[in-house]
Amino acid sequence: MVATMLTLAKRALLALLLLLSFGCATTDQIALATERGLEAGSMALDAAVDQEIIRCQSPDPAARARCIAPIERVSDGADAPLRAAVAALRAYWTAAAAGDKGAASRALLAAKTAIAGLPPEYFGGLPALVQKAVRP
Amino acid sequence: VNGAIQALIAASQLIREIADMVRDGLSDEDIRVRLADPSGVGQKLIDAARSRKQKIKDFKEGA
Repeated sequence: MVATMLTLAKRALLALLLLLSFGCATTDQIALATERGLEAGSMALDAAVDQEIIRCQSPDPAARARCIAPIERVSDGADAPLRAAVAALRAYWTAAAAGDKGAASRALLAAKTAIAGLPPEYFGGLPALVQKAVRP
Repeated sequence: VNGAIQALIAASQLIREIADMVRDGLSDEDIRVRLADPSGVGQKLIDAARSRKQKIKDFKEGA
């Protein structure tokens, strides 16, 4: 079920990428799509954590900790890039609202850098999406 | 189990929303909302990350 969901999430991101590749998207749309893609990846990661919690049930706390450790590492590893991506997207919209295209472009570049640090199994389609937005 | 099922349903819902967004184009209204309040952008992601961390902590502690 989770695998199917991840496949669907990847397909959705690919569809977004294809949509945006046809030149009908503004940077505002790409920033919005990036945020939605981050939400989809975050939900997929949530589902994976829930699945592991079910799989790792044990009366032994040490066994629970050992079993949950791999997905905990993935989740913890996603935390800082996600926060950085959100900060960059907020900077983007602040700059866009002020009409500052240079600052908006730099903010999207920062988002791209942050997103590159996310686990690719959940957020794999996003770097290309932001790359499209910051292409000269 | 209920939590996992709810998460899967929520994820499926989100994927449907993304598919709808692709079909309908990205919403101008959503863009207007973000331009009006950039500080609110991504709050759902921050909350989800915090909740995920707490959920794992609770599980390890047997809560």
